[in-house]
Amino acid sequence: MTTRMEFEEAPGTGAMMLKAAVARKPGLTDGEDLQRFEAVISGVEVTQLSEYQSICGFGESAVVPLTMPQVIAAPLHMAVFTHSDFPLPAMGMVHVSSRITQERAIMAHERLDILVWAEGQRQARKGVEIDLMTEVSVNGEKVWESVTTCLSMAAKGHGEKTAQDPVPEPDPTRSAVWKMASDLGRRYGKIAGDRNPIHLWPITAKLFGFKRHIIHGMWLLARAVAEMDDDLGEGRVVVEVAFKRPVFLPASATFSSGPHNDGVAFRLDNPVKGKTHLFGRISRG
Amino acid sequence: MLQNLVSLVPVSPPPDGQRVKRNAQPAADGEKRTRYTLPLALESGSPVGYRTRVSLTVAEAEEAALLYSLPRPEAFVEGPGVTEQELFEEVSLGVLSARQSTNFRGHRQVTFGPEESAEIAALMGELTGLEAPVLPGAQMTHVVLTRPYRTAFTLLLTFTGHKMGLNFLTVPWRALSKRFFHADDIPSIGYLQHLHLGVLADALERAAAVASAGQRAAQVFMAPFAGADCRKANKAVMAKLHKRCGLTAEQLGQGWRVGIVAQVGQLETALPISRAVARKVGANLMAFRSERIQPGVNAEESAPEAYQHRQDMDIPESLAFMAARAAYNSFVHWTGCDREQAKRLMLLERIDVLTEGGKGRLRQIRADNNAITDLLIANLPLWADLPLGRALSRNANRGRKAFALVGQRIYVGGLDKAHVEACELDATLAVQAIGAASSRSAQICEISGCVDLPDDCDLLVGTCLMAGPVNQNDIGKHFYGFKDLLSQAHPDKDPTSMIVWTLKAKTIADPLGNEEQLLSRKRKGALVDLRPAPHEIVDVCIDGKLSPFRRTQGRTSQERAFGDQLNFVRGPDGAHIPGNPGSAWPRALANQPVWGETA
Repeated sequence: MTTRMEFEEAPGTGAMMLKAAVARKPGLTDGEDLQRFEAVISGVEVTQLSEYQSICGFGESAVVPLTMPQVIAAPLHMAVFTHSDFPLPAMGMVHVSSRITQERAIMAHERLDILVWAEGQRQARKGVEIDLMTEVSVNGEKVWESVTTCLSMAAKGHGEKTAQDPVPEPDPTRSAVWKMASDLGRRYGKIAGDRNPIHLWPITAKLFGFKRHIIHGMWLLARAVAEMDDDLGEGRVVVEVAFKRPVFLPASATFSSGPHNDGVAFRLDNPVKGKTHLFGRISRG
Repeated sequence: MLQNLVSLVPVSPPPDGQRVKRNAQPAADGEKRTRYTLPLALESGSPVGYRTRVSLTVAEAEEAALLYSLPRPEAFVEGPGVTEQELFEEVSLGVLSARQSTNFRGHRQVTFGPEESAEIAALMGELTGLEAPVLPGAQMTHVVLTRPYRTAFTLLLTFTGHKMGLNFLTVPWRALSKRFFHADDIPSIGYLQHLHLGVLADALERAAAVASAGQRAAQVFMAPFAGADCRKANKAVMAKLHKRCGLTAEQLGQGWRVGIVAQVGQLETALPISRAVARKVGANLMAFRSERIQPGVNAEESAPEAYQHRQDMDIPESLAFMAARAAYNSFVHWTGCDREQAKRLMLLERIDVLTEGGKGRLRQIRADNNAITDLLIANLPLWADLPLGRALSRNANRGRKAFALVGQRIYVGGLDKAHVEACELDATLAVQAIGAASSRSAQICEISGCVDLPDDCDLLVGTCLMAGPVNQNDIGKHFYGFKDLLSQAHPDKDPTSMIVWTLKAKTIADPLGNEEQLLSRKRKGALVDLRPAPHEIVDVCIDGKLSPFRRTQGRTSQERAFGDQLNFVRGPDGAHIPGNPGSAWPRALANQPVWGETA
């Protein structure tokens, strides 16, 4: 069975955020599969491009940054997660990894048709993982897609330790220290439309079990992509990222990247403790 | 003025058993970090970073040597537009790194494109005292702004040399004179501004040549902005330049003014230097500015083994000769006097520390400077020192170590100002030329220390260019009746010593902790130079609007210049210091011409 939502304009995220905060969800019972939920919208205009480029460190240009369609599609993601029949709670969902494939650069003037869906789940150690799929088309041509993997602990996990992907250790051709101010989550949240309390203030994050507020994973990925713009080239590009540890604000983190297995590997580490916040790779074709 | 050709002189490394490298490594878990361990990370927008020297072959050294006797350009021709990346590399070699080991940001730069360059050239034509023709067709023009030298050290100087009983009146009077009339406590502090300008002027010529791999040259002007008479005559034009550079009334009140104008343009015949050699030289120039090589022994008991041994190395006589030739070249170039006159005007004392006489002379200088420090401390006003917890006397005491003279060869440079004026030379311009001469001389030695550099050595020559010992001597001269450092070598003159540069053949760079002091805010201290990022001191004028260079939207540059040469300090296992390699500026921006396609 498919639950389908069609929008003529992007749904407001404020009300959905409130809904997510108060909704009681049953979770998934043993043997129950997540049915397909999908949301579509057509002819979306790219807005706030300059603000997004600015806050993520991209140069000003008419090219939509590779990570921005994810932000444009975010209201549809919320619509799926906060649908009254969606069995898993949106609050507490952890973004564990992403894979973005861009077939060609998207220009600011292009109108985007967006399809978002989630269907099925995989058991993980501490819950279940769901792949939230996003496809962006322009005039019927698929130009961009992403797979966002989220962990929900509202279902039983298998409890077994599984082998983790090794963190790549490229000989860095880039290595820079990023400073992230305490208000970064609030400023980015305003542009990205993601005002999840865990990103806003220490006190609102504490309500959800975090010691302080954390920066959005998608800001970290966007900042990383901005750093590596000349590694992206033109044409098809695939970006994969695994989020390992949150970045508590305010923070400093060391970004590094370098050639690795026919692509470019990147990582973000805590400069003092040496722990890795995220790692990933970019490949072409 | 004709400059004699210089060549880089290779320095023989010591036998294998005596060669050492710094080989710093990260502190182990729980181990206290010292100056001998690698920094945890580098957070800096400076193009310098922690760098190592790049070896040059003898043939490459011969090519590179021409950078140390560059003639002035005679004309500019049309050429491709200057890209953002080329401008970044040029400013990295110029205003962002020309000076070493000082915590004073005394320079700013505004760079104008071809259209404004034509307007500035027209303005320049109205100046009195131009040392060279203003050239049409410049692709860009750098206007360097300068201000009087003021640091924690000059704050301390406010309290020196006062008479007991009157100091409660004379100290505030001097403080007010400094604040509102830019008065100097001692003359040698006033010279620092001009010495630094000379160092930068010399660097600007090389920067244009290196960043363009010999395609461009700089026509650099200092003379019209040097002496008080020239500045008075050129007041109206300088005011127009100040306005173009966006200097505010407050900045003018702080003493900011134009110090150098450099026109940069395309040469009809490129200089004979290959791109490969230019990039190696650029990377080495970054390395020199990331180091603070003390040309002495670092044999503290706590130092690692590598620092404990003496090395049987010496500066070859032919290198000392070239160092002197480079100095005279530079003096001739910047003052316009002939070579023989330069030799008479530029007062030098060379102290060969490895000789008996040299050792004695060095001991004498050290003893005199220590005696001056003792007097300075003894005469500090207690009403100021005691409430500050004796901070003033403690800082003065630190000067003994900071201004220590070490090395195998020590040069003291200066002028007899009366003699300079009698030759109808602008005395201030001559001071600037002394700065240029000393830095070019020291740099010849630094880059010679990169020729055939073996893999198991950091360098073959260390140099240190400093004014500290001269300032210390000047305190003695000015307040306590001591003689000038150069008076013994030039008894027939009335010398004023201005700068010291020391050389030593050695294969190990100083502990990285010394360099970390230059770049880490956490290690901020008396000798810190938090090297500036491009957006902090360089503005670019595009379409009549000034904007900080390499600050776009929410991002500023963390690129290290000439990073393609990969000369970054690494741990023994090859691991990078996090943040040290930096991150290239977006290529889409860096590859664009700054002011359109053609000049």
